[in-house]
Amino acid sequence: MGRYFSATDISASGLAAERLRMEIVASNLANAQTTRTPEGGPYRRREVVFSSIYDDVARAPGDVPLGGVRVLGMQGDPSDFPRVYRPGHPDADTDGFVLMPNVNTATEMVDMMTASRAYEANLRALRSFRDMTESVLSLLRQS
Amino acid sequence: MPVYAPADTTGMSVNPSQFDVLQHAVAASALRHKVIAQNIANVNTPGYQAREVRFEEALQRAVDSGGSEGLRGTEVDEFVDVREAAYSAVRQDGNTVDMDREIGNLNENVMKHQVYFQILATKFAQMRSAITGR
Repeated sequence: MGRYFSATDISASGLAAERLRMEIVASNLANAQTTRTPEGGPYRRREVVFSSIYDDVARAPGDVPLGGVRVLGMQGDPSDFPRVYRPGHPDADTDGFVLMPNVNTATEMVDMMTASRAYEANLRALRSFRDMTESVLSLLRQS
Repeated sequence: MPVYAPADTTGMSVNPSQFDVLQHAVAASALRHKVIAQNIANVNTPGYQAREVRFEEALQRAVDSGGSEGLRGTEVDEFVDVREAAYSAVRQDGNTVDMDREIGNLNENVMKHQVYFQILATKFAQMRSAITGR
């Protein structure tokens, strides 16, 4: 019975990964104007790195070694900070330019939408599996 | 009154007719759900290749040649083929998962799974009522 329920683990891993992606997007958007960080310099955009999981546990007949998706970690976007001309800005240099975060709001919104849609799809896979199991259990209950 | 006499009663099973093929169909569609769930979980994984599960043709061929009884003692593994689907990558990161296609497969598979299991459960219920007379 154990392996029959691990489809839940796969969908749950997808939910967790997409939720983390949405949190990173929210952090990027919230800091889109942050020119001063504790490490010095403007906020650097962060992104998540996903990887698919194959478990190496010995399989039962009729099973596949699938484990869903894993977040390997978060990394900083290495692209350059844009130099924007804002002479009155407190962090402007002598020429009036400010180094702004390398966050593109439009890109973040698209990432948010894809993460949100993927989250919904994982939720639907989870619900479908629950429906499958419930119909099996209800039929078994009648006997 | 005609009497139904099965040709070969050696190794007769207490299971209903078509039990073996239905049992494999139920297990294979449960496995297919896992593969679809894996595709959906990895829709945003760079370079991930979507997988698909095929078993209906293999099961059909086995039933056509040996009948459902010929499947007795076999494992569902022999009929299930899990492979990377031959989809072209339209996305820049090389991911081949099409969300709409996966959702469609998901819904279709859920229905198939319920049909197979329902048929199996009905057969057992018929057997039970034949045995108990109720």
